Amino acid sequence: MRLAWLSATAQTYAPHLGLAIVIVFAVDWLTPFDRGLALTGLLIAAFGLALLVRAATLRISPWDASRAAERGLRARDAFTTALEFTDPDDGVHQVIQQRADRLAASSRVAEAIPIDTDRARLRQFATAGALALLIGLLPPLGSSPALSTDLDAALDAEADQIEQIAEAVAESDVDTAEEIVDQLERLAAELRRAESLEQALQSLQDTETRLGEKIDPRFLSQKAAVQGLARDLALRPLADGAPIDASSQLEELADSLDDLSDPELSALADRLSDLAESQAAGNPGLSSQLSDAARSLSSGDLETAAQSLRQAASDQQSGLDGARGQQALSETQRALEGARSRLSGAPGQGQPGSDSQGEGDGEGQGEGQGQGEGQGQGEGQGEGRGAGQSAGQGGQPSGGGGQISGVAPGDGNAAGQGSQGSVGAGGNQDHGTEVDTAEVFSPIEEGALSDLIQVGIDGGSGDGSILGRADAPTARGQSVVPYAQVLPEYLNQAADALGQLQLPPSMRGIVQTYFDLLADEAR
Amino acid sequence: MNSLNQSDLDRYAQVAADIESAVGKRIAGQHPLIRQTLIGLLAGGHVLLEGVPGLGKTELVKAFSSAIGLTFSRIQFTPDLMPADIVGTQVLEETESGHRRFEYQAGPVFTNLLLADEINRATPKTQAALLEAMQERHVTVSGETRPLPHPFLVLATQNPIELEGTYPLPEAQLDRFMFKATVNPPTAEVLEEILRRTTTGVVIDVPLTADIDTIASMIAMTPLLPVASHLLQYVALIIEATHPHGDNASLPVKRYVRWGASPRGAQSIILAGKALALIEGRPHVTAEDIRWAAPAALRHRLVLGYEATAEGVGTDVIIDEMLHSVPEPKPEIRGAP
Repeated sequence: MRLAWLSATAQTYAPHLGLAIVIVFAVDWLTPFDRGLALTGLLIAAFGLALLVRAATLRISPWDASRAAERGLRARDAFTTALEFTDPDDGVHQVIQQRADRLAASSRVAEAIPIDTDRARLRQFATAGALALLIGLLPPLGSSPALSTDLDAALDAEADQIEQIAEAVAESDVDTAEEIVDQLERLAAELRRAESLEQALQSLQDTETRLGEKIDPRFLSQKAAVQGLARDLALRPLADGAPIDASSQLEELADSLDDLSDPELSALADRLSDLAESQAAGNPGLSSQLSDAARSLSSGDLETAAQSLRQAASDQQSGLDGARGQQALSETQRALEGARSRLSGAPGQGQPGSDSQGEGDGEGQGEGQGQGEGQGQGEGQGEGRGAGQSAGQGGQPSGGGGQISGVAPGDGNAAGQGSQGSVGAGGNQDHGTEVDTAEVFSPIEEGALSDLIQVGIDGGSGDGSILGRADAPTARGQSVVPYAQVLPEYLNQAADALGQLQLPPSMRGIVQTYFDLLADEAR
Repeated sequence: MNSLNQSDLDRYAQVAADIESAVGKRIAGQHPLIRQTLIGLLAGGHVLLEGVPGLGKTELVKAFSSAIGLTFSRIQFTPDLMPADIVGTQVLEETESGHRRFEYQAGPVFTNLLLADEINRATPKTQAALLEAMQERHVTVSGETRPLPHPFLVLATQNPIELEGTYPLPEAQLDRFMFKATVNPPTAEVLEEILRRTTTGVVIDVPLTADIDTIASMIAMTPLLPVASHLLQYVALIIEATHPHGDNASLPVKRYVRWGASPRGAQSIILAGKALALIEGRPHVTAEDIRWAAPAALRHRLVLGYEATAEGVGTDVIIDEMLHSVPEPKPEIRGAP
């Protein structure tokens, strides 16, 4: 009876169980639930356990058993009647008992209580199982296209790449190498163990944050200073035949001050003074040592000058080492950002923008690129390239400055780009248009500088003007990214540019201060 | 204490089979009717036969009386039939000494098998006299009660056609019949057999197959056979299902039945089931016995409404559907047969 109950109950609820499994697999497929198989196993185990427990504790009365047996054997109420009429002194009762005994003796239990098969319900269960299997074989929905085929493969690929970065960092002699390698190896292991996309992204984000905390806020200015000094001294050595390396030059100079003539000492003092000024913003310590050396040379105190130069050489070397370490941290952080972007599907998932018509009326000077309909004065050339569609949006008609914003890499339809209007000089000034700092075009992301770039013409005035006018379908393209995301790269590029000696040393401090302010705001 | 044993049961079953076989030699193609009549006899009930004339109802009673060795009477009910014509009356007789006195002259009811032919043609008063005798198994004439012979079985016939000038039996009177058997016209094969038996001028004798003592012991044994509790419950549920306002009433019952069966209907089913078990040599009643007996025991106890008449729905259809709707008691355990 218990086996029959077990079998019948299992078959009765098998379609329900099948439906539950289908739902689990469907949820697993539609969402990043990713526990379908485990939950299915749990469901089946719980179902089986519940059946076994209930079957073991099922109350089966003698009447139930005898009634079931006589129905199974078609014994026509012989057993239940025998169960009820048991008077040993009654002849009829005795005949009933004997008849029941004969029937029971000539029967088998399997015949008395057969275990039937409910084919319809088993078919339903099989259908549900097949459906669940089919859903299980489908690629999961709800993840990025790059991961839709195989999340594990994507995570493994990223983990491999991160391990390669860690190896490269380990082979370098930067002072932050050990810290970076530890972080990257831990991250690679977490990515391999990650059971969901969200978990992997969170690990990437956490590692980025930890690396970011190690980066000195003044890193860019320090980098610009030490690299600028190194390049400056490489192109214009402090002494003829001096080694290229800046710290070595300073060391040798300290040792050879006694050999220099007074005019040479005077010229050297001027040079050191200039160098000190260029280092004031990014490397105040070195700047101070160079200033001291210059003053000592001017006063004829060669010994003090030599000490200052040696200290400056040491500061330069330590500054270079520190900048390299910070650079490694920064580049590693950027690499992790790239990995996170790839996994989260951010690239290639630009949001469609609204159609707009650009119209600007501003004055100023600048260089514009683009194609379309434009009015105004200025220099413009070029042709938009890239993917997506975009259109320029001009500034306020009444404004002197105007704004060109909302642009994106276009498919040839970009129009009306003005740039650098802020350096114009003119009569009109307009501060009424703010730069939209929420999202900007990132040439770093897109890699095509011919595309339109959002600029803000702030305070532009003067002769030049760029009027952008466009009438084209617009869509924000793939390279429109949050402002804060591109700012570090801008700062990095700016720091590199400062080291190229394209600006006079006296201007470097201004540029450096400008970008430092931007960085502070971004933080 | 009952001293019945299996050999007794086997013997009773053989006697019943012999009776059915003997009657069947005279009555062709009416085995269900023969069995219902035998069951009515053993269970102490009376049988109402309904069928057109010429289907062998009288022959059936005659054959039974011959097979069992019972006395037989036949009354043709007519509108002018009086109760005294059935139960008998006091007649004035003069003795040899010249005294005159009333002597009771027994009516045809004093017999073992009574065929009340076309009972619905007599007046209700006459019908009531017979029905009272059927129920009480005695008659009272001039203040004197006279028992009827034992066994006593009435087979009353009703002609479903020619209803003009008839007095249909009221429900209370119908309830006194244990069974209502429908005598259907014979099939072609059966009719051919009837022709073969009855048109040659040779009368087929029905052999005597049982003595009256054996029949009496079978009649006495019938109510002693036990019925399991779940079968009593089954019968109760069936009877409850015949009531249109009951909880177990099916849709056809609610729609077509005006009044359901009485407790006497349940008693008839149980007694008929016991008699059926006995003639089949079983010591107890089964659910199959219940289902077999139910149509004959209930078809004259259901009062149908005008919807049934209008739509041509008969009691047999309703009873058949009802028996399907009332489940036989079974274990409330999933997977049990």
